[in-house]
Amino acid sequence: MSAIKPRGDSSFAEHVVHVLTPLLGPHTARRALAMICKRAGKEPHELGPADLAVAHSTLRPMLRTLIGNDVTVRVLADLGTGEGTP
Amino acid sequence: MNSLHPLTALVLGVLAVGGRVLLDLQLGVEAGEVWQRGIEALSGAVVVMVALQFSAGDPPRRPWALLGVAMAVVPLIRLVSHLGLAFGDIKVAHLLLIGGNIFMAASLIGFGRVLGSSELLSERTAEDRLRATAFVGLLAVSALAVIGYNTIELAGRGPPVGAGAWVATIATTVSTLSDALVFAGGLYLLWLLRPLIGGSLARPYLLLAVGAGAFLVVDVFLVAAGATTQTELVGTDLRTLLPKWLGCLAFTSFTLAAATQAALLRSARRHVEPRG
Repeated sequence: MSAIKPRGDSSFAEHVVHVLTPLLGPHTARRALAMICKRAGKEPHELGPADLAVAHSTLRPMLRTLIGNDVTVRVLADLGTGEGTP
Repeated sequence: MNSLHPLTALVLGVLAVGGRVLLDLQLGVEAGEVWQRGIEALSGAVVVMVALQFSAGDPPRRPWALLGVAMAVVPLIRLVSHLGLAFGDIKVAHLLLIGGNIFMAASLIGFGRVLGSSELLSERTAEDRLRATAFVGLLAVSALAVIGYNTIELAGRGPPVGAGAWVATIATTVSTLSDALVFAGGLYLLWLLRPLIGGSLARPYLLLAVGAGAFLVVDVFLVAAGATTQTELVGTDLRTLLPKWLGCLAFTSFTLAAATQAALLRSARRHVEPRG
């Protein structure tokens, strides 16, 4: 099993949804993206790898509540390296 | 993220319940009971394993641990029931049944609290909250109807005579109350999990809801038959065998729920550990 490879800047929002969908389902994955956008103050198409930290800090507490630390670390690592360790 | 595939879970479920049915019909209820004791022991082990797989401080750990205690008590109930252990005329099995049911109800409340507390799943608008309240209210009414039926059945038998009969009545009442709570809690989980449908995170809870529903139906059958536990039923016809098969379905569903959760956690750990 390998990590999902991060995509380019233009499809970062798609990448977020792509990573979250297997765990959260398509509806909640899109909702999570909307929350990241709100926190970053950007539209989905404006999101890029620079917003990874915002994505992590938004998702970490919500995912940890639902599924615990290990899966959260795994999902954040799949989103992209950098701040995957809570 | 790897999890137990729904089709695999379905096949395993059919094998587990089908095995019980086949054994009952082909070799006799004794063989079917042995099969189910195996499933019950497995259920306790797998649920406890899931609780241990969560890290300390993980919110889902506590409800899984409570469910683990409830499931681990079941083989003990069967054992003391088989041995006929009693304090005077109070059966130890009935005392354990009361404790196990309380733990199970507490676990479902815990699952509801964990899922409901996540910002991803909590009801955001007043309209959503109103719908959720109406839905939970409907569940409460349904559960009350079951409790009412069982209460009328118990009351119709007159007051219990002796401490043992009182404990048996309390065990049946607590069992019905907690199973109604577990069933309503299971459906509430389904309500909370609607947005997660299609994701692997929802699967264990869906299976828990199936098991909770089966337990509640078993309770209705038990009260109608004047029994407190499934093993007290003498399986002779469909009316007495069906609750045993539904009981098998309930334990199988809980086992598969735990196995699904365990697979999800293991797949994450396999990925995380090499990174140190």
